[in-house]
Amino acid sequence: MDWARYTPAQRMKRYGAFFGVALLVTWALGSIDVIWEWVWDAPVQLADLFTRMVPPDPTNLESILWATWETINIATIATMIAVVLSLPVALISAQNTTPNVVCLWIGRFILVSSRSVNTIIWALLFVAIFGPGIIAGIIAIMFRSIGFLGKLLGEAIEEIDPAPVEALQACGASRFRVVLYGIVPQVMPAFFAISILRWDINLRESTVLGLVGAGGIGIILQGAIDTFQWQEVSMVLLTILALVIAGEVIASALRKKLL
Amino acid sequence: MLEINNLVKRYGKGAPVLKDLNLSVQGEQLMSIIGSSGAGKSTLLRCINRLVEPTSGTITLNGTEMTTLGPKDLRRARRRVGMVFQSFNLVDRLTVMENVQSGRLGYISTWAAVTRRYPAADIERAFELMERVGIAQYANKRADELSGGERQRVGVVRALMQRPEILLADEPTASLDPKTSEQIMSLLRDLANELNLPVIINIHNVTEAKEFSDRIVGMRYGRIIFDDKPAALDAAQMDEIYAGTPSQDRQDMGAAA
Repeated sequence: MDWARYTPAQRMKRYGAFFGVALLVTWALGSIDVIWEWVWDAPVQLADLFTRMVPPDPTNLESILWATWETINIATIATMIAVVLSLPVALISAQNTTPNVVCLWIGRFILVSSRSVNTIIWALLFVAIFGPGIIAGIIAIMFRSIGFLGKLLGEAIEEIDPAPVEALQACGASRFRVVLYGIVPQVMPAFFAISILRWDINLRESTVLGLVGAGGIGIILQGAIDTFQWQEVSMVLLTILALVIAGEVIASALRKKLL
Repeated sequence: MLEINNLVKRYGKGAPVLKDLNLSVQGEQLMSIIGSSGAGKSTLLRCINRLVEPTSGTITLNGTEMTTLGPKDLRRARRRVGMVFQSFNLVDRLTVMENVQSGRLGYISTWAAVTRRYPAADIERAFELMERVGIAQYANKRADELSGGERQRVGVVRALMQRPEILLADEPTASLDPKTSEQIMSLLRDLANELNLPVIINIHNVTEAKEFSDRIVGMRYGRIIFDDKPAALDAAQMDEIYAGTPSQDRQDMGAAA
């Protein structure tokens, strides 16, 4: 018996699609302005930079650690506020708990507008409003987190088992109490998991906020790069690495404890 | 007393699931509804407390017309109707006591519900009922730690906490093994007698239905075609109730019309 996975027409279509993608990639590569000399030069530059970065310079360690502490505070405070603010947004943007269609669309609008703007862009905006510093950083992280938390929590609410909810409705419980007894216990694990995950992400995001003047360790990093203090740059990078690893460890420990 | 008149339920634009159904429940303590899957048993039960909205007809429970109630009055009326489910429908991550007390959610204050500081009388009644059905020792356990039979007992106690005027049970034993199933059925019968509570049970197990009920109603494709004492249910009527499939019935009706 003669058997083929694809008919000749299907095969032609697949070849065509492959060829099309290849053409697109070639065109994309051609259209960007690559200065190839710099690319070939990269390994030499890398080695050179490395020699200038070693050994890391700890003279400014105190201010680096202080900025690290500030970074942790930005991430933690912003996450906490965002968690609280995202709760009502999640409730109104989940199909099964929204009071009405208007609320559903308001909720979704908040989620989309928060999520579609990157933290750095939010930070630029809030630095312009509040001036440089930690407040702009906190609010930027918070704005971005509301969308993330609200979206994931809203999805968790939509995925609950509706059977207990039906039972509570049959008892004559009001809408709020049905949420309280039927939905809250079911989304509790997701709520903690999502909050911890976002804190972890925020810790990393707040390390770069300083690049646009919104507080944290990024300010020192930016200053060191601008003044070619490569040994200090490497010190800052090592601190950030330690911070991120510590955050990861704390997050997974919390996850284990709470879930 | 429950009085159902000309009840019609139609999902979307399809043929009605309940067709002009009339049913009156008064003296009987325990009534079973039998019929093949798709006959409309569940829909009938859910129309009574309006988990399913009836399309037309009236349902009167002890003088209250259920079908026209607004949201707030409906909540008040639902407190008077207890319901037990096939899959128990407990909140798994809450304790047995919290599940049991959720039967009182229509009565207690929001603050009491949030803080779990239930009225002393409710806690006392909960322990009485849990003692009665044999789950008092589990009060502080999470609901998902219990076995099927124990979970259904929690479901029964939750419904009884409402101090209902009628208890609806939608295939309460279908997810249980035969022995546990019998235990739950006799528990429902005994409770019906002790609390003088009318109970309506949807059930697939005809042997159990005959053993435990005072009255049996047979449904076939949205109509009641049998309504009598269990002893009156013979093989011919059984065949009538379980014959055919809903789709076949639909065709037969089309041919007749």
